[in-house]
Amino acid sequence: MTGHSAAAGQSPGAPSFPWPLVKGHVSFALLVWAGFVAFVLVVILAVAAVRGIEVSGWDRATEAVRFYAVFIGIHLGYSQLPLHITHGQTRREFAMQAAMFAGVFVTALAAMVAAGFVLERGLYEVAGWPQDVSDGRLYTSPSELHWIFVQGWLVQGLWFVGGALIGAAWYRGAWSAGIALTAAIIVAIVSQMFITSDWTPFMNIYEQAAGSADIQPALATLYNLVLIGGLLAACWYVIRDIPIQNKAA
Amino acid sequence: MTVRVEARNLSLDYGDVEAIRDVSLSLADGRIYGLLGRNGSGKTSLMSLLAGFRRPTAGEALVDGEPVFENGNATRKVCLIREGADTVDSMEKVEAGLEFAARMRPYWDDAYARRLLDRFELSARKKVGDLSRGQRAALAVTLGLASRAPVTMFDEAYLGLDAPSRYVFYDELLRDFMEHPRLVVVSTHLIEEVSLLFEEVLILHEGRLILQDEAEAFRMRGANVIGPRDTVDRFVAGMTVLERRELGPTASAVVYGEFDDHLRRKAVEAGLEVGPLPLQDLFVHLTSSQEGEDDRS
Repeated sequence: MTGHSAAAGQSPGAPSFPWPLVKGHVSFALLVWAGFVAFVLVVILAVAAVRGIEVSGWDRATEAVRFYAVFIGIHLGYSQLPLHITHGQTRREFAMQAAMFAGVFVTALAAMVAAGFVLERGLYEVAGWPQDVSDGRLYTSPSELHWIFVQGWLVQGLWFVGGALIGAAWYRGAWSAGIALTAAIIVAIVSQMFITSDWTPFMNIYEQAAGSADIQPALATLYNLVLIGGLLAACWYVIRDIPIQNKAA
Repeated sequence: MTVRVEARNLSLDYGDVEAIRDVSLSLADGRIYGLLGRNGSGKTSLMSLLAGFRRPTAGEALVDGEPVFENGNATRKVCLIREGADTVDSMEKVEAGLEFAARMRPYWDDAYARRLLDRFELSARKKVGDLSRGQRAALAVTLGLASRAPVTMFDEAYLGLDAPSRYVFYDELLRDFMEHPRLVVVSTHLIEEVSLLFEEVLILHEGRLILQDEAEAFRMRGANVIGPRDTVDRFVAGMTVLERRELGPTASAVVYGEFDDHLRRKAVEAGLEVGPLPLQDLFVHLTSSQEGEDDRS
């Protein structure tokens, strides 16, 4: 007669909120952010030594955050997905946990982007520099922290989910990776078109869709949420029956 | 609570290739099964289906009567370990791999995992990506044994281990199985080395299950006859000889077929020794004769 019982403190039931994934990645992102803020401030000071400062350095630097988001997304789809399934989780459970993680992680990244502007403002105020931001953002001034946060959330969210799609498709095979990469690039271009006004020649399309070439934050937010939803659906399509391959030692 | 694994008319295709063809089987709790088959026979594919790693093309893989694929109740009872330690992130340290397994595996025994690391002389502080092939295999079998999953499967997971480490694995598998009986499936090429662990043997050939039997009954399907060359040759005349070896005046012949008490007595009266049928010879015979039948059909 055999008997099987779960270890103390362990439940054989469905997994809950992915705290370890969130804690690990958010705390690491905080470290990266702190280093990145310091690096950007040093670069600003270095530039200030040779010429006058006229714009926000952080505004330009945050363009790089999307690449961090896409990298973590790829890692999630390519490495974490098979790892969780080989340990007994279903694809559906993983997808739900990954979506919860994405929500928290992207929110944290957007908050860090907004916090960077606040820190930079301190330096700029002391030095008396104008903290101007680029045209074609959902925000027109670094004081519009709510729109900075929204844009950060949308851009990082879209690139993160795009990364997860590419990662899962890459695990599935080269062909699906190629298709996913193409789709993700197209979606990123369309998203950018909705957010920035300097994306010619696509602005004609934007003008037709939005009725005006001016950026309308609410509309841009809505369109980007639809795009993120589309990428999430594509992710589920790729992973819903993804085979777990036998990797060589 | 006991566990049961079943396959009903299970098939898996990779494009035009039929990896698993209409396999039906039933595996009971508290037994160690040996899954044997030549390269490409479908062992890994079958285990992947039983673990929910792949969706079957046709048929069903069941754990406790429930379909495995995309069913957390079933998949959490199953642990399939492959040689590459692909249940651990290669960018992480061994320690992180154990912590991850502890979170994911409901039957996990952390203290046992640490003891196994000591036995395999593996440091928890090492990065998984820096481990040698043998160390990765040691980590893989550690994760499998310490998972204490009701259905634990090793897909040639220990082949990268050197001989002393393999014997540690066999020793630990048997000892832990005695203390915590569960359903264990071991696929292997090293048949003779591991065959004494098996209580039941399954043989896959070209995606089909050609045999499932008790290991003891399997071995009784023939015998190894040893003695003076002429006596051996006279005795086995007319029998199916799978393998014949000579060393000076002594010969041994592995014969296949019913070897009852009457034959055993006759052999002993003729001055011959009768040993058990080596599983490996029988495996080679069955898979090659099956190939012949397939070729003829």
